[in-house]
Amino acid sequence: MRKTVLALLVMLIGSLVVFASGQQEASSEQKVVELHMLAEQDVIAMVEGVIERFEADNPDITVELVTREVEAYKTAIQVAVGSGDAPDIFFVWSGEYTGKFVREGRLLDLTDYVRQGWPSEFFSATLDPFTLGESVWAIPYSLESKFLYYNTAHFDELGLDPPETWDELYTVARELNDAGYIPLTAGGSLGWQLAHYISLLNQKLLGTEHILRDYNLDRDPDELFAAPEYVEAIRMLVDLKEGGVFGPNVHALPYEAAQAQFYTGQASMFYGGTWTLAIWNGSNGLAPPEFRDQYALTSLPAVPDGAGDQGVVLGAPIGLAVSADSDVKEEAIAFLKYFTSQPNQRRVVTELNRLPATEGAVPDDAPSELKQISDTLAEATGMVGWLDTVVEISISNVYLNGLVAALNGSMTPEEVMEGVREQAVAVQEEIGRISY
Amino acid sequence: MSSRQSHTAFPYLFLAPSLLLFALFIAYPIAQNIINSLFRFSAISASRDYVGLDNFLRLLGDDVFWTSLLNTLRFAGASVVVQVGLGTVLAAFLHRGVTRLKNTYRFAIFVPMVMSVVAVGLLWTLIYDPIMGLFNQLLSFIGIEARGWLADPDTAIWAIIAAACWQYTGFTMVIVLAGMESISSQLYEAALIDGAGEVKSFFWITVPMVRHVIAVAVLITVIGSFKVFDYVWVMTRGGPAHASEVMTTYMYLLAFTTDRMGLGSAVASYIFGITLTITAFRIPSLRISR
Repeated sequence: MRKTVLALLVMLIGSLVVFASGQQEASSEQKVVELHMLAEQDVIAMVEGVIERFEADNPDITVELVTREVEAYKTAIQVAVGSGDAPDIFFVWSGEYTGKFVREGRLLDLTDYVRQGWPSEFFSATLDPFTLGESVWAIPYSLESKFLYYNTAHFDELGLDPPETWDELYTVARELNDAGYIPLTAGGSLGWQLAHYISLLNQKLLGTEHILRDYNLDRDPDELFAAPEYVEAIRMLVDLKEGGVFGPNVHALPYEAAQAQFYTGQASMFYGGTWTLAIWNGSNGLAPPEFRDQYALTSLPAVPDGAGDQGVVLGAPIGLAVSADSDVKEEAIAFLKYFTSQPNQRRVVTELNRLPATEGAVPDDAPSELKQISDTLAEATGMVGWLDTVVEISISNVYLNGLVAALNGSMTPEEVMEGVREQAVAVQEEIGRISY
Repeated sequence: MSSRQSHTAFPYLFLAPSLLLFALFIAYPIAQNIINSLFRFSAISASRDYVGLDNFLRLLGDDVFWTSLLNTLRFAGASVVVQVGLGTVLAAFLHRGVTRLKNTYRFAIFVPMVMSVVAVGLLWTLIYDPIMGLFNQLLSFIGIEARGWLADPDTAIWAIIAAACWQYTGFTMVIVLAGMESISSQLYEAALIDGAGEVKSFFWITVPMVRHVIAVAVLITVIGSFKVFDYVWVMTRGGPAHASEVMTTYMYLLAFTTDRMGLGSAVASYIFGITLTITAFRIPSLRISR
């Protein structure tokens, strides 16, 4: 008996030694870079292809891709970073989302890498939002933007032009309503859908400089979000429903249902993101084939008497950041350089139907919608980011829920902004004015 | 060590593994959570500020916290009435009323229970869909206008509760039915001779005989309601504008979405305090009823 136990012990210790030495041997040869991104079907397929080619060129580096749905991703990254177990490279939205990691010293400063010998040239619209203070904190790989998609068949049938001003939006809506179409649809049960309207309306009514000071809590407490235009912007949104521009049950619509109303021809306009092109027309596209020739896009209408620049569009880059605690920083940078190299940026266009982050990556044979988007972007005089990523998260949470409540009639625009102001003052007391 | 001492120590030796697991996986996290409630900190922050009872006090002044508590109580109340009430009535039907296809009915009522909560949540989200949902189509036959049941602040929480009741009523029914089947048939025969009908027998024989089972079902349902998260998360995420927020979703929102870990922990402490109080009151009364 004693001999058997002894033999088992020896075997156990032996196997542990062998296992440990094996591990050590593997780790000395092979560097593993962990990459966490959002679980988007088309993106995963493209990224897996990029990883495969990168690993073939760099046999001593393995890139492990982990993907999660948006909400699960946000939570998992927060917990992983907080517990000191951050992935080497992880997906980030620009603005406050990146900012909070920067403030806590969790990201690697990428400035020197980007300024010295990065293989491709970034658009300033994609690199600037990731530049906080004087430093670059993430590498953009795509630009997301939002446009007013409209059904050309409906507009041609009624002899309408896409609306250029907010008043024209109402004129067009009357004609479309009379013809039996829902003029404009939106996933009004979701705060982020409504926040996209407000992101741009705030800018149109107040101007970028004014709103950024509020978003960064860079005012005295009694002046934070105090401009009456913030209330006006929410009122303009609610009026879209009251004035028959939105359908009557817009406040109840999920995002998917609103999109379906547009691509099935029930609704004539939809304020949608560049990412919707892949959802509609991608490899597993939801839209019927004939839809592809039945829409065009334009900017959200101007508010002529607004104080802001009316040529600004809504959008922001998405990018990848490197953890400050990573043990494989150089390998992570090597992968990011490869990921944003010209051939892979072209794949962002051709395989994902999305805008690239670097110059010269839109090929001549790119889908016509993307060319139209890049032309519209070229005409834009500036870009303003999504409210829910540029404003501190607890404030944006109050803001977004308030928008939903305003649209379903359970709060007034004044009450919504009162809540936003209270939260902004409380956050300013906690973290002060936001600067880098 | 004397033999008497070893005799007293012996049971604890057997209890030790489970006590160790209890300490590690239940007692320690509870203690840690209560400690976390006393700090203000972010999940990604290396440092944290001691704020005493400030998180608890802030929640008492927070309208959304009270909405979430009220919704949780609604969930518990409606679940007890429907799941336990209806479950008991259904069990009585199967016990005394239904003679043919008894197992088929039992299976049909119980089967939602074996489905995943996420699948049930998604299924009911589709049923309630304002445009293509089955529920609105059925209501249109009797002239009721279509509405977004999950998007309306007045109906969202009730629509979620209805989905949960649909799934769990069968579970309560099976528990209560098991209790009913242990009642001696002689009691019913005697009652019949004395002139009692089925309704009287239900109230005067069945219910008193299974009251301890019903009490356990009530306890399970109430505690389950305080822990409910998945239905709300899948169907509305607490929306629209917090109208269907329950305590667990608000805890999650504060801790993980808005990154107020201390406030989230304080909500968790409140949930713990409430469920502990309910359990402490109910468990002794269960013992007496036996």
